[in-house]
Amino acid sequence: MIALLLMLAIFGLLTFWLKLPRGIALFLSGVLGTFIGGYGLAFRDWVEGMFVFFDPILIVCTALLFLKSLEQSGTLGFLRNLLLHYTAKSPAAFLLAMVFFLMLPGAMTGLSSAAVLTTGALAAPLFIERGLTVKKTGALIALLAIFGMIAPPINLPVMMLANGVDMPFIGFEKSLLMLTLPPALITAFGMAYGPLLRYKKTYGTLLHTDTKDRFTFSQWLSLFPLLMVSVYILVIRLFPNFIHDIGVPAVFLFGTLLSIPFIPSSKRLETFQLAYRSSLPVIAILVGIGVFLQTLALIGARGDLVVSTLLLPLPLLPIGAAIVMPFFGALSAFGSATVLGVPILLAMLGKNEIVVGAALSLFAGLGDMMPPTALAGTFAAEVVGEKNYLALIRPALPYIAIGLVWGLLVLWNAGFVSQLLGMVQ
Amino acid sequence: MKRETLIGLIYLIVCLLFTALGGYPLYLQRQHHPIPVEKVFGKRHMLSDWASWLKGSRGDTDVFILEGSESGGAILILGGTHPDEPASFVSSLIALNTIQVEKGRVFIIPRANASGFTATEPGEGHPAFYTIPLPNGNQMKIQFGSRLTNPLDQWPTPDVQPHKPSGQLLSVKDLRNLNRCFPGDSCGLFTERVAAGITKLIRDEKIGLTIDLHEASLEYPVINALVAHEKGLEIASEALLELEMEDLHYSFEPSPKKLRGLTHRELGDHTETVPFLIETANVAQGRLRGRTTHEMITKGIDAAYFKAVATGLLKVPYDQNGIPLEVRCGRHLSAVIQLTHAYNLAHPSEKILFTGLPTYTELTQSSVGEYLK
Ligand SMILES: [Zn+2]
Repeated sequence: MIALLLMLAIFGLLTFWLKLPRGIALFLSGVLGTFIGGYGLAFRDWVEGMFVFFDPILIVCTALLFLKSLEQSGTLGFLRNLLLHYTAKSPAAFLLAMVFFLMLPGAMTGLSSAAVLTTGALAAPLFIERGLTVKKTGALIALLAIFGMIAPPINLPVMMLANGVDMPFIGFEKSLLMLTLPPALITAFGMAYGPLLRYKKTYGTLLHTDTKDRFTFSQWLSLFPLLMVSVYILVIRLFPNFIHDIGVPAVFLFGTLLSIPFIPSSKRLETFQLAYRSSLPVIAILVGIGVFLQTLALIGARGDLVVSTLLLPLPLLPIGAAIVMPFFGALSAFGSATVLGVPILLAMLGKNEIVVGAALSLFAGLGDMMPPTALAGTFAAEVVGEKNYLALIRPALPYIAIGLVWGLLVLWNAGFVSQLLGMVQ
Repeated sequence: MKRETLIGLIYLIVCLLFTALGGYPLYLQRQHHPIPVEKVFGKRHMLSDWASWLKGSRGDTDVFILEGSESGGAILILGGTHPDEPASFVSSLIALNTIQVEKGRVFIIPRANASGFTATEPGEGHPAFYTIPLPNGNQMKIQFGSRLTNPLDQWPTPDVQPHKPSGQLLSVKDLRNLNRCFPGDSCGLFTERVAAGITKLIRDEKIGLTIDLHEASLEYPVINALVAHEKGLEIASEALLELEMEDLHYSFEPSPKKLRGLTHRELGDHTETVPFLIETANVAQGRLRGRTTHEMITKGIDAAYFKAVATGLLKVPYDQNGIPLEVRCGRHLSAVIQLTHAYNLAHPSEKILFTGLPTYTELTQSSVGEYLK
């Protein structure tokens, strides 16, 4: 346990004092951990640790490539205008469409930052122009991005949790939807319904003077790659006996190929560069957390942590998880899910672990809103042009609390929930 | 030189250094080492002698045939279906060294998933090998592999794929797990091809009795257990009775019909053989363990597991004496002896008679090393 605390202290020192990127800091604290554990130079384990999350890394690279292609081809902008156009008469319908729009990239990539920087950036002006404050807009896109990251089909924290207890990443979709949709809707309506309604009353419509109402055929056509990818991912899950699973990364690459014709030729190279640049920090975190975990296992600190968690009184575990896991978001949502989530899930095995794992991933995901790192919060502040990201946290706090309480409710009633969702154990 | 170029160059050198220093031990792990037995067995048999599709592939593995002077039935002992379960591989080594066959034929595959022995499991911090002391003072070095097929031999693996022929869905990890891929598919994924090879050998050689040796972590519900296909219920109860006389207790588990791809289900359903699977308790496999040392692997001693007794989650008694390989291999080999006896009673025309295999009592009063020389 002392070794783990020392490693965390090193991580804190490296990130807050030396301002190193979190991926590098995680890697270095993993490397130093083998010295703390008395193993010294453990090159094999350091390199092996880098490959713990090789599959998620592939998903991140390809998903971001696809997302950037959609952005550069104008598909996402078109989708935004389209949704606005057809929901302009009803603030409620518009909000529903925006919940979908803002959650989509997170659901696809498993990354909240990806959602904030793409559809978040596109949707932010819509909200600000219609009377929502800059701070609330930032909080809204950050929170919906996090709920999107936890929503299916891709949820990296839950994939890591499942991997940590030898459980296949199958059948999580329904519980993840159940966990994310209600708090996402409450957040969207709680924050934005009032201002939107006032705007509608004043102008009679949500349409702004700058929004076009004519769409070209080629714009409609540009939705095709997104449609194909969504359909393929859905069909693999629904009919696995008939459709061969070529793997999520391959599906995203295929989608990227399809969307290339829609990207202006002058922007194609830039698209790839953008995707590369945005995936690099995430890859670094995944590689770093892999090394960190490998070291924990190597020096025996993992067993210590797991056994200590198992010795805690079981009824307290869920509350402890809901409080501690978000704070561990400083290590990244992935770190929180793997270092804390896995032992907690192990302690609760045999109690509808799919629902429990899904709830734990929500706790870990909300860590992306926790200072001092607040990944989603920092990016959202950048997107809305707010200098201090802490200003976004305050309006977000009640909704973070709602998310955590909802997660706890689902976790406590995991048996009932899995019956409700028709998941036979 | 520009500053950026210099920084880039330094990063590149650091990366190459890590690749070389970290990659070399992994490169060594990837080699197939010869099975460490000194006894001479005549012609060397490989699984590809039966399964031509494995010829030259990294899934091909040694098959040892020990024949008695009288003709009789045939038994197959499967070791190393899961390479991270040491008692499985070591028990098959002991059998190779000690068995004297009088009647019938004994087939032994010590490394059923040869590819798994050449891999490590990222995130587990396992050692590359462990050592067993031999009576002459030397140490026998044994590869500690991964539970799953080496991803370099099977990649990419689909996230989900139906099991053949049942259609039950298997996840990406199951598809690299040999004990989820039976009866196998000679044209399928790498692991399915290996499984198909073993199934073919069982059919071609008319193996009547198949025993698959395994280990499980202490918190796993199926532990110190004998799993039997419904064809083998009588044999199992007869053998369990005899084992009770030796003061050895096994929980009896009928092979679940719903769980597909396992030896004790599919080999029974798809071939004439009567399959059994035996589990012992292995500390080095569990997630509650502390650091994985050679002593933990061979002696089964671990402080973290000892602390975990208080959680009430462990399914077997555990104390500071640990659960050494002598106990685990002894349980395996005594069960092999008694299952063969019981099989002979049920199939008097296909008897398999052998001597020399140490029992639980013999092994626990001596050491594993004594039987590996
Ligand atoms: Zn096993």
